[in-house]
Formats: sequence, C-alpha cells, structure tokens
Amino acid sequence: MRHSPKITRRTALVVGGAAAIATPSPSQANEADVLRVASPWEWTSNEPSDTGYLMSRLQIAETLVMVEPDGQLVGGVSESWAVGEDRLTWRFRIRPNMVFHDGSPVTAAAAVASLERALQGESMQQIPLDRIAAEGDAVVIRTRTPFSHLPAVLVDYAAVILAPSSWGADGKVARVIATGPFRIQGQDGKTVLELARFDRYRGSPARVARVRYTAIPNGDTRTNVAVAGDQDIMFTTVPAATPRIDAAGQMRVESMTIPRVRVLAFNSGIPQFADLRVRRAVSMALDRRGIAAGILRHPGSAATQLLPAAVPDWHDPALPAYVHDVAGANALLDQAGWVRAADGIRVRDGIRLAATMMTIANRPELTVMGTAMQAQLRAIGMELAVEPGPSAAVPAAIQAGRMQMTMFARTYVNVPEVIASIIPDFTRERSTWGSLNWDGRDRMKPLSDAYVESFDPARKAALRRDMLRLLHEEMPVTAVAWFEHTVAVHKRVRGLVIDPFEMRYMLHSVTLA
Amino acid sequence: MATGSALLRAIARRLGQALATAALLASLCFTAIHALPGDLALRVAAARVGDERLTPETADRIRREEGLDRPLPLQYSAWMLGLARGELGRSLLSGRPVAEELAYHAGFTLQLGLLGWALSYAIAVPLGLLAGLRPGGAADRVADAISLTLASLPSFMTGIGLVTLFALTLRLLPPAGFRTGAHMVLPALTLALSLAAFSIPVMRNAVMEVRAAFFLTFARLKGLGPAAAFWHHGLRNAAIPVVTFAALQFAFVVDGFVVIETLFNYPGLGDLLVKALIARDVPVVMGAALLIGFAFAAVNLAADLLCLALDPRRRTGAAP
Repeated sequence: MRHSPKITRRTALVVGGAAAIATPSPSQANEADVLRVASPWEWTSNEPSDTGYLMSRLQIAETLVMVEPDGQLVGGVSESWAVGEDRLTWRFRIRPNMVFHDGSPVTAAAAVASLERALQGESMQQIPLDRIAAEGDAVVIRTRTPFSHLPAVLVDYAAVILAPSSWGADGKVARVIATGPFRIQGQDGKTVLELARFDRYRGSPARVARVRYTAIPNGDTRTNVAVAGDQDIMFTTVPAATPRIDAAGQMRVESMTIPRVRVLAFNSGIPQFADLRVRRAVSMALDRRGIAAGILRHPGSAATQLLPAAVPDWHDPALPAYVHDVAGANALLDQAGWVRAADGIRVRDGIRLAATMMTIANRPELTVMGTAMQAQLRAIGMELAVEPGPSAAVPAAIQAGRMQMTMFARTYVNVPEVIASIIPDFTRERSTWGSLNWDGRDRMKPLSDAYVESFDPARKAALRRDMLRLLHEEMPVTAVAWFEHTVAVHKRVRGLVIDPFEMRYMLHSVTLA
Repeated sequence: MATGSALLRAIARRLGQALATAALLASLCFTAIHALPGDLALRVAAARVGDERLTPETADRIRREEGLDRPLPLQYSAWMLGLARGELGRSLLSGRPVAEELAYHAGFTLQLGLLGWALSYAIAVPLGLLAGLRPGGAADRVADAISLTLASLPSFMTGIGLVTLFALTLRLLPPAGFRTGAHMVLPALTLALSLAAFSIPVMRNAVMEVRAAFFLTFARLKGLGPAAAFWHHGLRNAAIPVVTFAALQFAFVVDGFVVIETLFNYPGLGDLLVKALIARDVPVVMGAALLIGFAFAAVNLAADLLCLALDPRRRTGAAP
C-alpha cells in the first residue's frame, strides 16, 4: 500500500479541481424575466465606428435622428430639426430634460462633442461639413453645399450620441454611456452583454426589465440553439435551417425582405463586358427564381430590379422585371459578334467570353449560387470560374482594377437614404462595392448631384426614377436575389416588430408571456 | 545522484529554452502572417467595421493609426522590445491589451481543458486497465471498438452527435454557451471522448508491457497475488508512458479546441486565435503563439518531472 496514496491524492486533486470548475456560477435569480437575444455579432470594442451597429440595434445608444421601420425619419436625441433659408444651416433641437444613463443631462454641447468624434470617421465624410457647433439647446450643422439628406446620414450608427463621461483619458470609449431604452449592466468578454431597462428613458420605458445579449457567430450553432429554444429572439438564422427550427416547435422563424442585395457586378472596362449587350445577356441567362427557390429556399427573394419594395422610394414598380430568357440572351450575343468555338465557349477578336467571378467565403450561399450560375452561363457560351475569398479581397480587386466579375452582398441602407450608397457605388470609376469602369457614371453623377442639392420632394422623386432606370438599363451591376432577414422568435415572445433597416431590434416593445 | 540545486538549474534552463522556443514560434507567426497575400490593413479594417462599411480610406486610417505602414523589421523589433519589457501590445481589433485578452480566453481554455482531460482519464484508465490485464478478452475487444470508433470521428462529429442526443433530442443540456456548469458538460465530454480515443490503447499497452515485465514475475515469485503484485509494482511503472503521452496530448487539447469552441460558442483560446487569424490581428496571434508554445513546453517539463518522481532510477542516471 506504500504507493497508492500518492496516486489517489493526485487523482483527487485533479478531479476535485475539475469539479470545482464545473460548479455553476452564482445563482441567477429571476432568469425567466430575462429577454434572451442572440445574433452573430460580437462586441469587439467600445468604438461607435466599429461596434456602433450593436449599440444601435440593442437600443443602448441613439442618434440625433432615427428611422421607424416604415422608413420615416423621427426625432431621436433631437426633438425636431429644420434647415435655414440658405439651405446650408441645419438646427437640431435637443430634447428638453433628457438624461444619459449616468443621470447627466443631454446638452447640445455634449451632443456636439460626441458628433465631432463621429465626423472624423469615414462613413460621415460624405457630409460636406463646414462647421458644427452648439447654440443654446440646438446642434447647428452648416454644410458647404446644400446636402438635403443630412438628417438621414445622421442616422448612421457611427454618429450615436454618447455622454462625455464615456471617453477615457486616451480618447477611446471606456464605457458606453448613452440615451437608449437599455443600459449596459454587465459584460462577459465579447460574447455576452447584460442590459437593464433605463427607467429615465425619454419615451415610455421598455416593457422588459432585463435583456441578455449573446453573440453566436457560427451559423450551425445558432441553428442548434434555435432548435433547442435556448434564446427568445435570434436574429439572422441560417435560411436553410428554417424548416428544422419550425419543426422543433420551440421557436418560429419570421422573415422579411430587406434592402440588402446579392449583386453581380461587372468590370465594364474589359472586352468581355464593355458591350452592354453582353451584360444584358448575362442577366437574362440567370435563373433567379430557380436560385431563390433551390438555394435560398425563398422564391420571393428573386430580384426583379435592384431594390425590393421594402424601400418604396427606391423601388419603381413601373420598371420591367428582369427576365430569364436563354434564347434571347444567345441572340444578343450573336448580335454582338460573339461566336461559339468548338468547345461551346464564345469568342470575339480572339478573346474568349470567360471571366473569374469573386465571391465572399463567409457568405456560403454566394459560392453555391456561383456554381449554379456557372452552369446557367455555359448555356449562353460563357465560361465562369468562381473564386471564393475573404470579403476584403473584393474592394481591393476593384481598387486595383483587377476585378472581372464579382458577386457580393450589399446593403443599400447603411443610412435610410439609398443615395448615400448610390454615390460611392455608381458615380466613380472605381467604386468600393459596385461598378468598375462603368461609362454610365458620367450620366449618373449629374443626377445624384442634383438629388443631393434638391429640397423639392417632387423633383427628387423624378430624379430617383431616372437613376433607377439608368441602373436598370445600363447594368453596371445586376441584382440576383434580395435578402430575407430571418428572425427566430420563441413562443413566449409577444409584440416583436422587425425593422427592415436593421437599425434597431425593437426590443423595447417586446413582452414575455 | 543529482542534487536539488542541480535539478533547479536544469528546470531553469528548460524554462529558458521554452521561452526562447515560444518567441521563435511567435516570430514565425509574424513572418507567416505578413507573407499571406492581401493587404493586412484592409483585412483588419474589414474585421473592425464590417464588410459593408469597408472603404480604402478606413484601411488607410487604420494603417496610419496602428503603425502598419512602418517597415516590417521595425514592427518586429518594436514587438520584441515590448516583449523584453513584458508587454505584448494591443489588439488591432479591440484596442485592448493583448495580455488581458489572452488571460480572459486562456482561463476558459484551462477550465475546459482540465475538465475534459480529467474526464478523459476517468474513461481511459478503467477501460485501458481492464483491456491490458486480459488482452484479447471481452473487455479488451470492447475497449478496442470504443477507442477505434472515437478515434475515427473528428471532434466536431462527436460534438454534433452529443448535441443532437443530449441537447436537441433529450433536451437535458444546453446546446451551446459557457456561463454555467451545465454548459460545460457537452464540450468537456466531446473533448474527453476525443482524448480518450488515443489514451485507451496507450494505457492498455502500458499495462500489457508491465504485466510481461521481469519485475512483475519476480513479485509473483515472491508470493504476491496477481492483483497485489500489479498494485504495488505494476501501476507505477505503467504510469510512466501514460504521463508522457498525456503531456503530448496537450497539443491536441489546443488543436481540438478550435473546433469544439466554435461549435459550443465557447470563448477560449482557440476561438480567439481563429478570429485573430481571420482579422490578421498580428499582436494577438503572436501573443497566443507565445502562450501556447510556452505552455506546451511547460507541460512537457512537468511531465518529465513527474516521470522523475515516478521512476527513481532516472534520478541516478542508471539505465531503466
């Protein structure tokens, strides 16, 4: 028996230690009252330019101006706004008696201090800013040129208003102290945020007292959690998992078509795509309904024009829908002088009708769609290579002029005014996410300039129609499928509204049965 | 016989070597990450602001702010100088100190690793003992089948199987998470089964070898019964190869964690490392390499010391 105690003691230590580790954390009281919310996004930093979308979606922080799910702009931190006679000077009146989460008053000076930091970021640089100042109870913003959609740009999550006490000595955000209906009570790494209802909220306080947000980046794990009913609301479920989640009976998947689009973009400067007839033929060869039904499992998401009806201002029912017409596409290519070679691929002036299409690996459906398109384009004598890669590779390839063709997912409502995406995507020789060498940009630019400067609703509506028609007919890009925003909702959740702009998760109106 | 101070010197030398190896590993990571194609600042920008907000201007700002436009030798020597001062820099993604991030995530890995590792031996020791004491017997065949099945399953398959059974079908345990004991059971079990797959045969063979050894025959001749002979003379000898193997398994612990942590949404070191690699968060990747490299060497050192304690002959330098 001489040796046995040693081993026993060691074993006991290891097992004992392991048991201590496995003991549950301090009792979590009233768990049933906590609204459990999940989505793929981690809280990686406190900076509004990086994580502001989570601050805004979880309704921790608010912007001067906000957007309702129906697209209407409403007051947020500011109560109302008006532009002066000069069409350059805007006054945003701060709501009276409003307080930050730490009880300090929301003043125009505090809002200006917060906005000045946001204006240094790239997303706000489209504003032709002259100056920003606090005057009495108003934030005054003066632009160098008329900029009619300034209120919409201020909905940008990078422009959330934080309290002066949020910033540390190093100029970085140390704590997020804002004005939303929920305040941060605790945080566990990048994965879990504990939120509490802010009782001094400017409007009616949220219905639930506590929210626990969990980031679950892996799609399969989100599916498992939804099948088990381990969350109350889960945003962005995997589309293919909807039948499984519904069948499990714990959560039901709701969906809504949103202005996020799977777009096919061309390099209109290379011989394959310089001719509009080729771009049209490619668009006609795509079986969008087949892709939507077979791959995306949602026939309604097949695009008929660039944007869905969820943004009524930028959806023109009068435009002819994209058609699937292989014979017509072949005729167009014949007309354009592309002749089929022995291997079935068309050739003109020694150039094969072939291209490499970049897709984004972390949107797995894009690569599957790409392989379906490979077969569909072969039917019109075009050879397509699909190259999945990191998302950053696409803007890099566009900037370098190397991109031939690419398919990516693009939201046109980073702010609730599509023009803010139209300008960078379609008025430059090299966009970030969009066209490359498109000759129509010279016709687009005057339209978008006029739109930005105009304050006349009727004139703006006419300009929108012109811009949409130009994009639809000249095809610097062609939309393949719109996005379905999918949300799994637990049976005990009541009163959830889905925001097609994805600015807010609308948790304030939710109750638990 | 080696004196205590000689042993301490040997330990200090080994720890020094471990640190040097870890620093070399981190340097290799630095080289590899910069050798990857694509603009590093653009990748960091995409991870920070998201794909859809990514602009070349954002990448340029981050390049400037984080000093990524400096020549690579300068960036590298800045990191080495920091290391000499005991600093690991700040994450390019979160802006937080790398040491803080590593400590948070390593804590979770350690919890899960210890639990899974202990659980794996709770499975492997009895099975391996039973199998090794009666080679070719029913217990041996069952243990062999179990270890073969587990070994042929990648850990994510084992994990998905356990989730499907215990979380989705029986609804006994949560399918993912990390904040309560119940959340730990499935990831720890997945890890344990993957580890046990290989430690069962090692355990069995060690027991078999010892059973055939001369000293055990001698113990029997001395008049001890088979159980008593094995208990007094066999177990300790059989433990030596198992301890060495257990240390080697540490490599798998880190490796297997990447998959298990992703599946169970568990914020450990593997999860941190994968995300840092995708985001090209160089300081975090280098810090993690340093930590993993050092921990691997330290665990090996601990195993060697344990073997020394188990086997007195090694202390005198006599041939075993």
